Amino acid sequence: MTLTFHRGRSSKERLQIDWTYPVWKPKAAPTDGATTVAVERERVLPLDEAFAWIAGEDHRPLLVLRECDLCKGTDHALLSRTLDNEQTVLLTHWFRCVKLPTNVLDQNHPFAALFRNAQSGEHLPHLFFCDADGQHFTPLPGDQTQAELWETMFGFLERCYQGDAKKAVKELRTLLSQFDRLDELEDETLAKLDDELDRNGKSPKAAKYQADLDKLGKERTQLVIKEQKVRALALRDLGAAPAAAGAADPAAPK
Amino acid sequence: MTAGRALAALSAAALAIVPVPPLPAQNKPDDEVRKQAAADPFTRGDAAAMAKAGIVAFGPLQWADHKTTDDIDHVLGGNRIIWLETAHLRLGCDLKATSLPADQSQKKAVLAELAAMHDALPAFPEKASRLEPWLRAHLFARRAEQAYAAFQQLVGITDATWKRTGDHPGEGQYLGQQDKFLLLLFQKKADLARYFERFCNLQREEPSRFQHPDTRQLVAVICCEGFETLDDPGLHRYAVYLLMQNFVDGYRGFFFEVPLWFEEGLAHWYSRRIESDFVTLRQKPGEALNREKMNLWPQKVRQRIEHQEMLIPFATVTGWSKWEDMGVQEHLQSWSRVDWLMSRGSTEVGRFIDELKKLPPMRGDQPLDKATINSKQDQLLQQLWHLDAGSFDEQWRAWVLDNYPKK
Repeated sequence: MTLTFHRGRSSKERLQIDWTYPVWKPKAAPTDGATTVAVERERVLPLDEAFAWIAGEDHRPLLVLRECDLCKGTDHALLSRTLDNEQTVLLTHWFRCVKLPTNVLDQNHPFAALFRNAQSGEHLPHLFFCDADGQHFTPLPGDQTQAELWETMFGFLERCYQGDAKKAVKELRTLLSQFDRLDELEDETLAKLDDELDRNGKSPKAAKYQADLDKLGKERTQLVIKEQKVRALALRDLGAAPAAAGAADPAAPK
Repeated sequence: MTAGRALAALSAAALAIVPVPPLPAQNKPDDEVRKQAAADPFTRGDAAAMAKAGIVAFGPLQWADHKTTDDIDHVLGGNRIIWLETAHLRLGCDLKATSLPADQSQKKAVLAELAAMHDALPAFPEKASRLEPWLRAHLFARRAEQAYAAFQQLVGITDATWKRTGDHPGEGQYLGQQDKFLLLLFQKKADLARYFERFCNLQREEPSRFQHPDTRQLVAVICCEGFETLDDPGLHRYAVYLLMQNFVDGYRGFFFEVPLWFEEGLAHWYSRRIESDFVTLRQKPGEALNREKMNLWPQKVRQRIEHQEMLIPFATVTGWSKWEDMGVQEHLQSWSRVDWLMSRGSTEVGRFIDELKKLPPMRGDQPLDKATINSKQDQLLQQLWHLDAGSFDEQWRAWVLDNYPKK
């Protein structure tokens, strides 16, 4: 017998990297009352401004990845083609993940300074980690090993967050399995309810399925609360970063 | 600049498809967009060949809000997007090469499209085992024009009807719009998100529709990333679904939103003529659904409304105004109501749109309210089909029970 293992929809949602895609936009400033506006010209932003732009109000450490037409897929600079990537993705939730376009390397691109900053010799990094203000800049080539990647990520997490991220990730993976079980039960019951409503309308059997779903819903709520606690344990109070904890929690109840 | 309008029912969360994380052990080869040949290999820019292919121009093109496609390339990265202009639309395509659908019937439909393109311009392959990016761009240009033609036919107009200078909103030559409709097809979510952020001032990562504020052009933007089964027929269906909504909104000017049930129902009606396993609807949280049967719309509607209490009364239907108001059953039953109306003759459906969109954009100094629009809707239902809410429910249900298969 072949055993197959698939993550359910809840886990899949949680196992996505929450990329942001910042673009430079001109700010219009009024110059002579209401009629004339001066539109800011596009220019290469100084490094500190570039970091401020891509970090926004988010004070989590940054994971910045540039897309590349020559590579075998953008995310492959971060995710392994052959190894399990769950831990990597779960760890990204404590970072602000920024994806920049291929032309970020053009010398006139507003964010050009970000990667120019990273250049060492001939090689431009594919991604880098740093604090929200650009400190602790750590470039990676894109073909780094998963162990090197995790070492970098854990390094940032230990410095920027309180709590044990390794333990939190382990617990999150256990929770994912519990979400999988719930999803399976819920999908099965939703399908049964759907079929029953088709067959007999609002029947007593349909009411029973609905009650089962309500019960599963309560279980899910508990699981989500547990998950939030696990995530929150790993978050450090960054003082000036009130939005960071919430922003880092894509799995909050919807 | 005024704020642009993100449209009601703008993001069609496709139910069949759960967003896919690029997760465990990826052994598959590159799935990213391939670099394109700079020039169209089929027309090679020859005017006669372009005319045969239904192409008015290639990029760079004027786009929207006084921006050009060069402006978009500048933000998203150059030499990636294929820009095409047809008689009524402008398109940007950044789609990877894909194989023909595995499903025989869907494959046959795509091959028939290729054969028709080949007949028009022999440089197009009569058959292909793989749809390369330039071929896909031409396919979608043709498909978008076909959708436009279908809408024109529905409302009973031709290009000649609208050959005006377009001095006033609602009187332009493109169904009343003053400039062409827009369609953007991206492979990557990043491109979609950056387009919305930079050119629409909108933070969005899902396929959506938008009205550009200055030129009032309607754009439909789709990305394939994040959908498990968005193959070529699926994308075709999805594009038609969004385009039809844009045509309805843009027709005679976009001054108010037509009743949601109708716009959704009509968009589904046209998009479901495209054979595909891809389903464009939304499952409300906790809504009952057997995913294995979710593409069997006639059967599902019939089974449900066989039980009177499962029929959503028109009095409820007409109250929907937000995308969130609609779940699976709401979409299915809206589609089916339009299906019934179309079965009685598309001319009346076209007149329904035409008359509804003739409503003046303002009532005094106020925009039209929903009550006025609904009142016109009710009047037209009566005038065109002799229906009130009760008889609509009753007669539609009887037709469904007579015409849709049980299983």
